Amino acid sequence: MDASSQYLSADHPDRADHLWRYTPWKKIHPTGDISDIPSDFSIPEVSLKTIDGSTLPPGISLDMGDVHSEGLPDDEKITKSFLEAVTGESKFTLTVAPKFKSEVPMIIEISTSGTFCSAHICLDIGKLAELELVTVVRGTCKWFGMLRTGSTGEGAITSDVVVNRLEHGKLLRVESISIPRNSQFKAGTVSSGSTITKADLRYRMFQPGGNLNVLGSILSAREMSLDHHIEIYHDSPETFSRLDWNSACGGSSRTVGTGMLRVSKGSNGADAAQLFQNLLLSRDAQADSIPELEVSEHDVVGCGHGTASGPVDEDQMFYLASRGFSPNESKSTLIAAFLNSTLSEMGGDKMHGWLVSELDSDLSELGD
Amino acid sequence: MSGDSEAREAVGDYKAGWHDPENATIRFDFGLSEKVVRDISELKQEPEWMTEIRVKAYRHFVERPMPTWGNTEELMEIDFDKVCYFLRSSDQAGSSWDDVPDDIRNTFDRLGIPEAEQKWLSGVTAQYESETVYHSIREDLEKQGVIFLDMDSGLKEHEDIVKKYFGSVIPYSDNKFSALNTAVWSGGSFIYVPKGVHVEMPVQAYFRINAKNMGQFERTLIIADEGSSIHYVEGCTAPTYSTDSLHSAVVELLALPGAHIRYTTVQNWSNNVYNLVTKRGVAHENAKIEWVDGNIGSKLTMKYPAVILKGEGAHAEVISVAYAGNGQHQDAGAKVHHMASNTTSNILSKSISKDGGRGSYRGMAKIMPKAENCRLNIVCDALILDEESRQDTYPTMEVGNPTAHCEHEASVSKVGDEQLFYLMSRGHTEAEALGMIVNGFFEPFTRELPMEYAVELNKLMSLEMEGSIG
Amino acid sequence: MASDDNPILEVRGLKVGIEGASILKGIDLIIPKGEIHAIMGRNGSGKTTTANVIMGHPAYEIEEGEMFLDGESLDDMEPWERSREGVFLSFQYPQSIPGLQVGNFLRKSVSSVRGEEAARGSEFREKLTSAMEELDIPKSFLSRYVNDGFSGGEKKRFEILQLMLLQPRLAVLDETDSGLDIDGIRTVSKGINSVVRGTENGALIITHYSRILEHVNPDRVHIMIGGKIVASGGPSLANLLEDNGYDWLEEQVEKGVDFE
Repeated sequence: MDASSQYLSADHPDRADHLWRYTPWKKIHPTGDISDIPSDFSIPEVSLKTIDGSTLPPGISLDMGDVHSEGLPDDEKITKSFLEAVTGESKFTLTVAPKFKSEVPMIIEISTSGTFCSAHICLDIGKLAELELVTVVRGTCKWFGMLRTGSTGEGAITSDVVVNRLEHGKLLRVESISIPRNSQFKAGTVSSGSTITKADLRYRMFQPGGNLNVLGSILSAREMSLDHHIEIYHDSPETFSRLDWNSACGGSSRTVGTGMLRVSKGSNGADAAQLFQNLLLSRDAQADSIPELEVSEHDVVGCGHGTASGPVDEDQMFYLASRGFSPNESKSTLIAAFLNSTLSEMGGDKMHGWLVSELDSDLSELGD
Repeated sequence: MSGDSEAREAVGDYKAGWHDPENATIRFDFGLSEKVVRDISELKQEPEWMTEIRVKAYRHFVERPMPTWGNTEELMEIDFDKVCYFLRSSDQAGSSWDDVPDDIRNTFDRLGIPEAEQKWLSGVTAQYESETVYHSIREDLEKQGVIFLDMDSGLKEHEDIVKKYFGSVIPYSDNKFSALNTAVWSGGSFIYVPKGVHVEMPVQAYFRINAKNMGQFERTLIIADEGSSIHYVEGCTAPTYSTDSLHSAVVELLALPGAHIRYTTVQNWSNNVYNLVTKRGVAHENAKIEWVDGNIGSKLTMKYPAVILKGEGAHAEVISVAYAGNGQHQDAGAKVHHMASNTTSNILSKSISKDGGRGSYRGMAKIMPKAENCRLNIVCDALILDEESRQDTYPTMEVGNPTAHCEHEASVSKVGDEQLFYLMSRGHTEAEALGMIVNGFFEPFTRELPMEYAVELNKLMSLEMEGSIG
Repeated sequence: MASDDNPILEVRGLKVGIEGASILKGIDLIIPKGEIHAIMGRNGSGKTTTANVIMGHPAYEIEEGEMFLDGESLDDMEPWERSREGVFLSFQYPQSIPGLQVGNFLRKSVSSVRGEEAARGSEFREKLTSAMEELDIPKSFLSRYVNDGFSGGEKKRFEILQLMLLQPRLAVLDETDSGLDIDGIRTVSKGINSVVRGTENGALIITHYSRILEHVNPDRVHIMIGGKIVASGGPSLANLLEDNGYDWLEEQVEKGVDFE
């Protein structure tokens, strides 16, 4: 069955399912008519570069054409088949050779335009490769659909950061990545763009020794509606995961962070922790969290999650005031620090510097 | 006592698992229809408005689909046509144990109710199947104007109050099971505490299902008027049969300004009871509602005690423990809605699963946009005792006001080998050590219980830990 | 009126409460130029409140009295304005701010308090390096987050590092010695001395024990009991107190003994 018929035959999502509780499929679908698969999709400009403009090292390439990745068994059928159906010609594979190593982070620039735009990017990262990668989405299209699938190689160390800098419109982002034996994967999300975002990010550790670190720096301003759903599966022994998701919620925005941490039977020695934090910055901002946890293995190191939502801390404000910071300086410093505490974990210094400069200009939009 | 060896075998360690011979004076046929609903109402000679509500609720129940969340597989197994919706065992509720039929009285004697009543209770109501069989309240409280009746008598004697509040906290349309309860309710407690009266000792209700395939649908309404306080304790047991029973209660609490209601439940239904209960309280200005909720028994429990913090300065406290053993799923949790400013809530959930049991915390916490300076704190701890068992946490938090401080944390862990070793090095067997650790884990809950209940719970958990070592 | 004769800090009849409870019940205190004063007292005597109130903590309510820095009233000044005027507080429990790097924070603080010039170029870097060396703080400290995961000793050293870089007119040190070992106390005292001694700046050291005072040699010692300064005297008062205890001192005060 092709993707279009798969989509059309899939069940409609239920709002009892927390993935769809806050941003129903109708709201993020390009036309709002969910029986519709629009055909007028344009292909964005997609290019692979180094972050500092130096020459691309050997062993890494981005190619257009059919992709080979099946995604994960627990993927949400509706969005995935829809994105597969609308990314027909717009498919790319990032191939990284085994043992690839680069001091300089790589960047995939995606430049969108027109009304509907989409891309499917497949990661094919070789064994023992070491890679820092930023995928940045920019431009002016009204609706962008991005599907990212693939796998890292055994023993590979990857930082994979996705930066949303769309000027407006809707972003539907679906991601399903598998993490094999002894592979370390950092999945960062930096979001300061698009008006409505729905992201469904899924990571599966299916062999022993998988190590996953999911990080979010979410800047929610104006009338944005940002809904990130993250599922992490521990499906093998001795697997490790951490999630730190920081959202600064300003304007009259709505920020949603939902997650599922599932530790299946047989994943002994699993070590998993999640923390969703919301910094509430304005009267009309709303923040919702549902961090779910299902543990079917008793011999675990520990499995936990937490959420915390609150305004800027008064004691921190006083501490900074005692060092001469004015109230506005204190507040913006604390917001930046809050977002930076996850941002700075996403990669090395070069990557961090680049990310800070991307985010800096948007910080001023927060607050009342 | 029954000599039925098959039943004895099924009872196992479950102490309250015996059953008495059924001596029903009225027993409805299995199954539910509008006629059954009207018959119950007629039998009870209820006012017409109550009959109307029952019928509306019945219609809603029929139309309303099963919840699509929770343990949907087990919910689908409930066969509403194989439930007896009304069974009368005694022709009247006695106010002296001597008036209670001997076999029923035996049951409550064995459960220790009359003894407890003398020692530490302000009032007792005992429900057997569908209706209350025993009822009493201390004279001094009666003189102060405290009303403590079974719900059927409450409706007869205080129709005006019941009419005003019945369904005001939990309308029948709230969910499928609140609709079912409203349609066929029978028994339960009706309590009114006048302004400023403090009921120092707890009042207790005891619920017993004895018959096979029985449905128990008690309905409780507690109104604590301004500045008053009351502690209500309920216990539940049933015999172990190979066929299932259904318990679906609705409990509504109203704490008027400055009032304090504590509602303690220790549910130890046998492992063939579906326990699908809706509990909710409304707390007005500076009022306080506490749910102290222990779920030890049942096959499937779905219960999320809720507090609507409606008045400024109101406080909610939900402390719960759950134990899920073989074939059990405890899907329990808490709900708080902060509607007013300066309201606070604390939720503590402790859950243990063992022998393939499944424990789930499901919660909803909401801060409304107009509620300023609210504080909310949720802690969920879970222990998985073996490789067959499972624990889940499904919390939802919706924060609509930037001055709110909200925190949630949950963790799932196992019993530490070092902890066990330490206790065993002090001469305790592994089972004893495990029992001590489990009782320690439940301690924040147990210490909130009346002494008798605490002792009983500790014994029960120690018993559960025996034979768990393989 | 600002004039050269004004003391650095003058506190007159200060009464302070928090959430309706009164804590300071009439404090008078004068710290002349170039002097280090100490306030000693038991837990709950109002020491930390005094420190917080000088810094302008918003939670406290000034019921009566006034405070002056170099003759200027502090009454209507926000905490950050006081900081820019030269008040510094070394916190007993400094706040941690994950995500804010120490290096950036120090630069921003110096720029706020002493002006952009002071935070620029090689002069700032040199000062920073030498102060860090003096306090035994490793370079790697600069890329950590403010007080995040710091040990008790690291937090105190970091407060003193800020003191040395900000060069305040008045340094208030709230139990900076608590939780420090002898080495730590010596290092921290060196920092305090370097900021005050030989200058016209002043300092107020708030402490439970006399140990730190042996290293900084205060010009005057004040004893606080129940929200009041009950005795003041020279440095020897600290030793007298340490030898005989607060109960004894209270008795002496009741007897009307003057410790001058």
